[in-house]
Amino acid sequence: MFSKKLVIGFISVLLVLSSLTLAFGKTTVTFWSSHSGATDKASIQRIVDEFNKQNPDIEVKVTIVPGSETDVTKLLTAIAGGVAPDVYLVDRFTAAQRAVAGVLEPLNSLTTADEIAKLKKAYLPFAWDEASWDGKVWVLPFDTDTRALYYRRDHLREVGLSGPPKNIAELDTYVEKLTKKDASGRFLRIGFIPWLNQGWHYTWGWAFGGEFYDPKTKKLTITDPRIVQSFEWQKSYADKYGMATIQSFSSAFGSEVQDPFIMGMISMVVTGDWNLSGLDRFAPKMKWGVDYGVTYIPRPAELAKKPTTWAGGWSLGIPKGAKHAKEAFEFIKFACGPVGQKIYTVETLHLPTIAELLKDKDVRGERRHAFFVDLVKYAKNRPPLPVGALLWDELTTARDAVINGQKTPQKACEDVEKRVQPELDKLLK
Amino acid sequence: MAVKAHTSRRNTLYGLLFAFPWIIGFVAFTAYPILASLYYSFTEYVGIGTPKWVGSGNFNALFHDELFWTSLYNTVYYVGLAVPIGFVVGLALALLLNVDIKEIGLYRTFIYLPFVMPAVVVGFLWLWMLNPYYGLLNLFLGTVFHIQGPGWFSDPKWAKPAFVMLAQWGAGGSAVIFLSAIKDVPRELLESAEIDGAGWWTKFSKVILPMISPVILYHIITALFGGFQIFTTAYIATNGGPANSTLFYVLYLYRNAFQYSKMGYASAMAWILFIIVLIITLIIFRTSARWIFYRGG
Repeated sequence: MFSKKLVIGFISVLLVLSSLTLAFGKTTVTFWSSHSGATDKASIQRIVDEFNKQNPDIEVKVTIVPGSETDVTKLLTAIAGGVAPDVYLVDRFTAAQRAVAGVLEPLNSLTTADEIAKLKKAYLPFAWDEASWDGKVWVLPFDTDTRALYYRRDHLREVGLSGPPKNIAELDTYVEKLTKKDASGRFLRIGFIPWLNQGWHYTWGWAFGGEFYDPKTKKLTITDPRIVQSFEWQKSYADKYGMATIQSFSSAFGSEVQDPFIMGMISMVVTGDWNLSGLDRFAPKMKWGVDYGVTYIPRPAELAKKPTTWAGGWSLGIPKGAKHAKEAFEFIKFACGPVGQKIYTVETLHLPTIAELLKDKDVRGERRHAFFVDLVKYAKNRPPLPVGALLWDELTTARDAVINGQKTPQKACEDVEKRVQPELDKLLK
Repeated sequence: MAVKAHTSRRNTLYGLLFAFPWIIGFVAFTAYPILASLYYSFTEYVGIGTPKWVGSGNFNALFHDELFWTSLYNTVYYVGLAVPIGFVVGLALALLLNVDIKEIGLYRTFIYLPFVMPAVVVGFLWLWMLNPYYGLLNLFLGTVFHIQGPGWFSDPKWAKPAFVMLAQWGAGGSAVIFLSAIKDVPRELLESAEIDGAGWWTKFSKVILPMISPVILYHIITALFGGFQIFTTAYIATNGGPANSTLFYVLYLYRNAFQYSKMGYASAMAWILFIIVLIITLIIFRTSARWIFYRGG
């Protein structure tokens, strides 16, 4: 029989040993990512592996938590249940909304003002702007993207046009020439549909020179005459080509190999840098410079000198209640820093938000990709407001109402302000 | 006497004990959330943190919310068409399935099969079927009737009717319930009706319909519940568009709760919907005494 003393001694040795291993063991940082695509997933894992190698005392573990950009149900549940992850992938334009909702830990509380200032300098201003709210920074910017006009060179040649349209008026005449119908009046091809793909309200509002928000007065400015004008211009396509005919034609559009641009059902489309890899993959025979080209989004003639585009992208944040916020902060600095962003942007053909990476040869890649990299400096960003998702949905509703002829552009824009401004005011109080 | 009381008390205790796992589940996952949502409906709440009491603020805001009325209108429009049409289609199918042929079992299976398909799959499937260019329905309309079919999901005028049509995909489910009720109609009643010279229509309207009326009541009420809660297929096929023509009530509720972080507002919406459905159900129950025939009742 063991004596009581011996047993107690044995147990205390065990306890001491286990606490020692705890002290010397690794800190596990959990990272929820919603990027489930094969390339994205592999690239994020590479960043994590690299970080783990450089930081032997921290172990970052990625969990794929699928979900759309604006849906944080799972995160909310996890925070409320006290099992929040340490790092979360946030669509940057919703960062302010998450901040106000109390979902995120402000990064200012994890470090000094000096370091924040240093970080700020490294990033492109628009990306930092999106990451900030109420004088604090809530996430670190990760990648970005830009939008431009893709056009089919073969279609243009066919109707005797030599180069891409340089402004809105030219675009309109191009579309007239490029559009083809069959005997029964159905489209065989339509030159361009303004609201297709990335032809969002923001795209055209900015292209026409409008502004959606005035940070000084903290008021939405959707009734900006130039935004109203951009809606009017979109409506002119619905009128000219027939909304019902366009709708039934565009509902035949597919994706991947059935993408309307690849199928030749449209000649021009506004979409982003990511479309390059899509074209390579689903239309390997289409060659840049021969079959298609990329140019700036057309603007009204008086504004056409200055290119326009807008950028979105993701960011990394630390949810409220994260157990290892300090280690998580180390990780997001690494992943969103030059090393992490370079791995990601080179492998996935996304664009960086670290200013110095815009000059990096590997990041720039081939010429057609470098075009998008260079666009970043003209990029606008959606107003970083805590009502970003609502504003987006309301603008989409307004756009739909206008092109379907249910509201005049002026009234539709007024309605957006009427619905979103009170929500914003409530949060600004 | 004492022994009896003792046994019955013990039986109650055992009964409760056996039901205990369910009671825990019910309290934790149904009763508590329902009561909590009542509280949240009077607050501003983002999902975490402390809710802020705003009294009837959410309800006042809702009544002035244009989209709330749009979503309510869309839903009532949908229920108003989908429930009666679903009833007629289900009953018609049940009558068709009530014939005596050898392979009837096979047909019953085929008719029931679509009902077991998940709503997400149904949503995607109908996106294809109703495609204006190469969808089956417009192909049929074009080749047989030489009509150019509408844009269905992409046309604000036709999107709601498209969902009514889509709802009939699951009519096999109610058909099977109607069928079992029809099978339950006593043979001797039908036979004596026949002897009295009743044709098929008289037999159907004077014997079968009254005899299955309790099942009809059940069907209409569950169909109402389902109709008011239409979400999955709309979320998949149109996500509220075009121009909010298919922004159904629960879809708008979902957006408020999980996309705009307005849990309080969404809870208020849930309670309004509950009250609407409750009132309609009560009206149906009250008036049902007039048209329902309970056997032996």
